[in-house]
Amino acid sequence: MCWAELTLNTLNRSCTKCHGAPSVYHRPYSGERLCAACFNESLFERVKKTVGKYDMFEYDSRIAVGVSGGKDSLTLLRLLDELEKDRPYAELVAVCVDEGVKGYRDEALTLAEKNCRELGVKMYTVRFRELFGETMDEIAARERELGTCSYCGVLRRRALDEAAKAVDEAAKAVDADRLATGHNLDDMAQSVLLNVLRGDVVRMDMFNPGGRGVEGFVRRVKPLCEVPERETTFYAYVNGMEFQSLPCPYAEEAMRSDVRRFLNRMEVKRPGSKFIVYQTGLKIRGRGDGNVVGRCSVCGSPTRGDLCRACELSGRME
Amino acid sequence: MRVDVRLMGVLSDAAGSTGIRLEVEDGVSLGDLVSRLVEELPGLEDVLIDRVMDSYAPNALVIVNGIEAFNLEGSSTSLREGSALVFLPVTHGG
Repeated sequence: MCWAELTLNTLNRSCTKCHGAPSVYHRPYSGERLCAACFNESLFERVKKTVGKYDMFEYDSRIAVGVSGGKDSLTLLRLLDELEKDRPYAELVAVCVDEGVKGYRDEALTLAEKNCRELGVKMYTVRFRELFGETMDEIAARERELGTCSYCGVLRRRALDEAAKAVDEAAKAVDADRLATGHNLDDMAQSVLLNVLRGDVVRMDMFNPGGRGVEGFVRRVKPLCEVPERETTFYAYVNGMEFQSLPCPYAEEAMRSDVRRFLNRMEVKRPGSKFIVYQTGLKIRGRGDGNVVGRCSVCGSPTRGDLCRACELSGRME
Repeated sequence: MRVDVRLMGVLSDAAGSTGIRLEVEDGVSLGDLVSRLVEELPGLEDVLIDRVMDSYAPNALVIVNGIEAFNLEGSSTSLREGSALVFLPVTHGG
C-alpha cells in the first residue's frame, strides 16, 4: 500500500485517542476511530474495568479459561494473561472440551494448544466420550427429541464445570475457583432478547455476567460481556492470531440466528443497540440468587428440579 | 486495475476458494466490488449478501489495506490499484 493511498483513505482520520497514528477501526456506537495500538489498549482497559465492576476475580484466583480455539476464547485468554500479570498470586489454566466433532473440534483443539503454548498457559482437555459415554457425532447421528445445539450446549456447560473442578495429577490439577468464558456483548444481547421472546423470566432474573458462587459449581464469569463480537474478531486479526474459522457443522439454533441477524441489522441502523439491549437485561434482572433450591438426584449438582438438565439429556441419550 | 481479495472462514468455504484477484474499473466502490465478487463466486451470495440491508452482511468484517471498511466510507469506499481486501466473517464456531 502506498502512502498516497493511505492518505486518501484516512484523510483527517487519525486515531481519536492518541491523535498520532492513522486509525484502522471505527466504533460507530461511540464515534471513536482507533489505531491498532489504541484499539488493543482499549479492549484491555474495557475488560479490566468489567472484571473490576463485577468483582470477577480475587487477587489469588485460580482461573479456568474455557478455550474452544475460536477467536473469542483466544482473545479472552490473551487479555486475561495480560491482566493477570499484575496479580502474581493468580493463575490461568485453559480448559477445553472435546465434544467429538470430527474435522471441526480436532482442528480447534490444535489451535488452542498452539496459543496456550505461546502464552505458557497449561491446558486441560475433557472429552464428551469420557464424561457422557458418547461423542457429539454419535449423538447427532441418532434420533433425538431436541436439536443438536440443545444437547451440546447443556453438555458443554457441564463438561466445562467438570474440567474447572478437576483435580488431575497429570494436568497438575485445575481445581479452579473461577471459570471464565468468552461470551461477548453480542452473545449477551442475544440472550436477553431470547429470554424475552421465550418468556423465560427465570433466566431473565438470573442474567449476570459476573456469575455467582453456588456450592458445587465453580463461579462463571464473562469478562468479554461488554466487547462486541466485531471487536474480538478484529483483535484476533490485527494481532495475527490463528483461530478456528469455521462454524460448527451442527449449528442450527434457528431462533438465536434470527435474533443475531436482527441485532446485527439494528446495530448498523442504530449504533449502540446491542449495548442498550444488554444494559436492559441488567436493569430488569432480579437478585438471581433464589432459584437453586435443590440437588440433582443423580449427580448432586445444584438444580431447580429433581434432575439437572445434563443428567436429563444424558438419560435421553440412553 | 486489479484488486486482491482474501476470503476467510465460512466465506472461503462457501466460495470454494481462499481468494481471488479481480480486474475492475478504476476507483470501483467496495459495494460494486462485492457485487462483482458474488458474480465470480456465486456460492458467496447466501453468506455475504444481506438483501434486507441491500449491502454486504453486517456480520462480515471487511478490511481494506489493513483498515476496517467502516473506518473508511463503508460500501462507498473507493478502491485503488493493488488494493488488498480481507473478508472475515464475524460469526465463527466456538
